[in-house]
Amino acid sequence: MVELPTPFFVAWLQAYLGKYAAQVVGSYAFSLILIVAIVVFSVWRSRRVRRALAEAEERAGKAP
Amino acid sequence: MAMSIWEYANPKRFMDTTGRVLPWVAGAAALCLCVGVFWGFFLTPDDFRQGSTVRIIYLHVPAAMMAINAWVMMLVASLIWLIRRHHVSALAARAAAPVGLTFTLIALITGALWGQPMWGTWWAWDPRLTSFLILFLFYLGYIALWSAIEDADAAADLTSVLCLVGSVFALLSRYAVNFWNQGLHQGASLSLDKEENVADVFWYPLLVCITGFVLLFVALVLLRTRTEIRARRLQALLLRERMA
Repeated sequence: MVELPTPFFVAWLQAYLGKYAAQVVGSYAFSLILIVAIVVFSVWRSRRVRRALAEAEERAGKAP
Repeated sequence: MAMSIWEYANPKRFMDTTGRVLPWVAGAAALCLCVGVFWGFFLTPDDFRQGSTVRIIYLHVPAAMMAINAWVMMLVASLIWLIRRHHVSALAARAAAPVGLTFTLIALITGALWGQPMWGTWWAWDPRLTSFLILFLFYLGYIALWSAIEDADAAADLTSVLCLVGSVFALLSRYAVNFWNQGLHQGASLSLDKEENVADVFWYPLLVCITGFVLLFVALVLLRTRTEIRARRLQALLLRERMA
């Protein structure tokens, strides 16, 4: 079986953080994913609602 | 002329003011978070007992603080709704809940990841951990209740009452260590007493991260409240269309 070389950044993280690298990296990865997710979802919903409101207001403006 | 906070109960004034403020708050939040996380992760030393796991503090402590403070903000907004019937305050409470839920989840998971190597267990039925888990469940219940009730005013009334009840657990999660002097979780890492506070080398980046989390919370709540106000107007227009 061919053993793949450890990417440089992963090897550096393991050396830098020592035996707790998995816990520390896991904490940062999980937190950043959740923060990015709530930001992206909030912005996406904001744009969707704004667009729908603009269309509804246009229809209301054209209504007799 | 002095501005009263109640003027922001007017949705139009709220939208005008927050529209101007939001980009600055969001930018400051991004800057503080990037600087704080980079500083904490790359430029601080290992702790002599905790090793590199001390770096989890830069996410865990601000997230836990904001998980509780988000609920307190929801409590104040809910009380304003119950007493003065300002719709913007009810919508602000609704907007804050998913943000608070996210921070609570971050605090729970990073706490477990820190606890495993330091305490030897991912989880313990410790007073603070348990009250935090119940707070998480209250957030879920609060969000579900808003979605389950069609009448917006009735939903605001019921969720406000739920928020009052949940405040007990928000307070417990903050003071559980003091109330019950038992369990695994240590006391507060931050203190005005310099002897009890964390060392300066950890404290300064932590302060930047806390500022970043506070600003992120404010930015997200403003953005989401603006969305809720627009969604309410959209709902009214669609209803009018259907009735025409």
